[in-house]
Amino acid sequence: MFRKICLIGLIIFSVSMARAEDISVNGRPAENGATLNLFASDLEKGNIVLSLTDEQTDKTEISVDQGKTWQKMDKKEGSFRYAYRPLGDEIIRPEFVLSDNKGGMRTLDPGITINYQANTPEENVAKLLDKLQSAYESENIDRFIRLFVLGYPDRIKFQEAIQQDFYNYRNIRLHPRIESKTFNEDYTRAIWNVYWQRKYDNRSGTGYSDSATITMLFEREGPDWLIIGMNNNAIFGSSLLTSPDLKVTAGDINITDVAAGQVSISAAVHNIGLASASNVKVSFYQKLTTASNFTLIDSKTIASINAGSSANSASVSFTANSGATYDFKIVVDPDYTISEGEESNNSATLLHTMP
Amino acid sequence: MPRRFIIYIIFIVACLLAAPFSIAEAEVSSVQSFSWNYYSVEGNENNSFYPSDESDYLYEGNFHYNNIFKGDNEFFGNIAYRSTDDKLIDSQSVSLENMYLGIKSKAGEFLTGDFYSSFSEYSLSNALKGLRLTLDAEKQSRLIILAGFDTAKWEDLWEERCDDSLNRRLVWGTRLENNLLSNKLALNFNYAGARDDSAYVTTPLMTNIFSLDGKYNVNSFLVFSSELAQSFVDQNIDQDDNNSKGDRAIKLACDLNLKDYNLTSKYSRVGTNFASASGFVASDLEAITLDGIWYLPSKLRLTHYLHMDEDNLSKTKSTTTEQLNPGARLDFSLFKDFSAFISTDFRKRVSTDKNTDDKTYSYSTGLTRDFEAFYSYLNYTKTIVTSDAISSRERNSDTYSVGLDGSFDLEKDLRLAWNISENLSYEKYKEAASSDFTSSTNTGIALRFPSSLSLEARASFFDNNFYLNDTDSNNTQYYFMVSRQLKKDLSFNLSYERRDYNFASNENNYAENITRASFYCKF
Repeated sequence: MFRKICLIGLIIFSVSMARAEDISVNGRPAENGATLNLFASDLEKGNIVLSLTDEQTDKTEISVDQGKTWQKMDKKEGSFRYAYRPLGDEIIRPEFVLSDNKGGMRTLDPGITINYQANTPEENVAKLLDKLQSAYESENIDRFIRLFVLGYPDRIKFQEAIQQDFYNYRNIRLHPRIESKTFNEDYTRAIWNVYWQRKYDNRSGTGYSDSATITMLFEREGPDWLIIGMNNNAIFGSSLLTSPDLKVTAGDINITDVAAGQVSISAAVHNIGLASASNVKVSFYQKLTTASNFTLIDSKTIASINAGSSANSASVSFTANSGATYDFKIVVDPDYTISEGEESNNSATLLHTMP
Repeated sequence: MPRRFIIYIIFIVACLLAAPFSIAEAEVSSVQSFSWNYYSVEGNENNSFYPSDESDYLYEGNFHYNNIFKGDNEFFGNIAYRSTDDKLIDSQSVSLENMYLGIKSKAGEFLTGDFYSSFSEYSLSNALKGLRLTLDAEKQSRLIILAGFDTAKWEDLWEERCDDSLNRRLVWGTRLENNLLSNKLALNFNYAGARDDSAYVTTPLMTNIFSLDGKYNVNSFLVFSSELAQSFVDQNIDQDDNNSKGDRAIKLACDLNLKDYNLTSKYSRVGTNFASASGFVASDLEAITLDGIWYLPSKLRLTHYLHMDEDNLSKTKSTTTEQLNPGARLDFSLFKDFSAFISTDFRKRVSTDKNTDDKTYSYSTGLTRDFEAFYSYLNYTKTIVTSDAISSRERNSDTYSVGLDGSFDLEKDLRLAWNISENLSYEKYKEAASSDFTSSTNTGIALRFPSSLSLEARASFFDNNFYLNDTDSNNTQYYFMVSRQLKKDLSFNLSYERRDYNFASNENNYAENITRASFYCKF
């Protein structure tokens, strides 16, 4: 019993007399078991500088690769220093071997974790926006969609919308202006408001420009940041998600016989897109079935067609020889002034024999 | 600027400045940066976002304050500000970018200013300017109460800037978190409300959401999680005859984490009129997702997924759209340390009115190898797009990409990094029987010297040849950068960028030159 008490007492005495080493990383004190986050701006000439102070130690070696290799620490002004140059994002857990001048040697594993990230969370999210811009401008759907989480809301439709953007738009240029940046406490999520400006050509070469302030929600997944939500998005995937889409079919052309050799023509125009269209020009053309080119009869303008709605154009009159057979063609938005999700469904032709 | 906001800002600044003197061992850090930008545009200036010949300044700074006092109590604060005449960076000449002040103890935390809070998927996930109180009860339960404005800029609170800002909303909410059954079960109650500012929108809405979310760790292999939410949306609250619409959202998820197989399955149904306080939820959608990874012997890895959904849940629309997206990818090792993958993806969207009937088939394969001195990859993707509704969209595309990148030490502490990549894409339209061809070449080099001097250069070349050749373009981009840490806390960065855009119609050609010089100081 007495021996046990002595042994316990000895252990307590040894622990209480144990030497306390002061460890610091780039000037910041590091307690045992601490986790330190370091960024590029924290480095000293590109280095992580580990410093150990222990008065009774004569020589110190350090390992930053879990004991595979050991480096001697230089003694300067009473402290042992070692400068380590990180190559990229790294997690370092330093271990030490301390030797005193009496030949005693012991190992020290302070349990310190140094989490080095070359970029700050703010820089990483900014890089993500750069990648988003680059992938969208170069119309690379694989690179673009990889920047969004697998569970992105309504992802299938979003991916289809981006694919339609890349079909409809040419020479896309983007410019982001960051309105606000807010991170959560542990820097794993962020909300940024970004004012995006866009310029592009449609498939016929007509230039357009638009803009929107999008609230973007980001999440850190491992070393990467990804987009997990967007609110007020009127830019990315706009050809399916927010553009009008004007459509006319042969069944929408209404030809009424007025008198011998005279007809009245009108058309029902549908907007199957997700945004309203205003000042919709509808042009009416005719040609004899034997002729090769269409000739313009007249154009009418529909003031507005709401998303998911239809509207009838005003009618135009056409006079020709009685009994002749004509092709009547309707073209909606013939000058491509309205940016649409789909431009190829804007015309229809109907055969009619004059009364 | 209303008096109360001036008083608030003075209060924050005074607290931040006074705190170091009032409490010992305070930690104050600051980053200050000053940049000078010069823009010039040649050719058709209207096509560029940049001004044609303009020199602008940008000054940004922040102060962060942190102090631990009387044991575990912590007093902290932050203020970030910006001054610029560069309208591409900020529409304001002087603006507050971020500002908060808080106190934290074992019992909880009180914070005023900018913060981001996320309750749950269907309730609240907003960046706010306001107040937040968090009360902790020995890790068993936690109560969060918050209220604030959801708006991009502090200036939105006192200036009329509706033209370039988002909708301004007042948001409030509370969340009670409970950890039960030895932390195996988390059960949380959420309430969130949001009211649009009628100065910003013509039909302001008021939304109230009640939700219950939970997570049950059955064992280390199986986790169930779910959320049930009910929202009430009052439409056009400025009118007497406002119309309230209620709807529900439900989510059921199960994570299976075996040694060699992980599977995440989720069912969700978000009603047509459901709205969250954040606006990130896709409403009117019933979806099932299955995502799995199977780690097989011999370094084989199989990733598979199945996503399917349907809209028009309330059957009030004239058409219903169904979407389906299955896919798989197999990663495997080859001889001589080569790695490879093959993958397939199928996406289908069909509406009952046949206005939408699109299918996309995608097949990819790739080869990679790490040669230690450099890393290399070669990828090929074939995509087939079919559309029964719009035949002009039907096309086949073949995309090839090849790249090399590497980094190594030229001598002790002199590091060289480089990369080069090439992308080629052929897109053949079935109806037109014609093809688009696009290519892009990217190359870059970076040098890091022991003195902290860094040099970087990048060049990109794009050649777009469309069969509708009115939109053909050839673009080039060059970027040079030099940076150095002058002293421990002082560094500078100088960069020059040139972008040339050349189109089929020469009158639209333009080139942008952007020169930037920046100094950063940290203390």
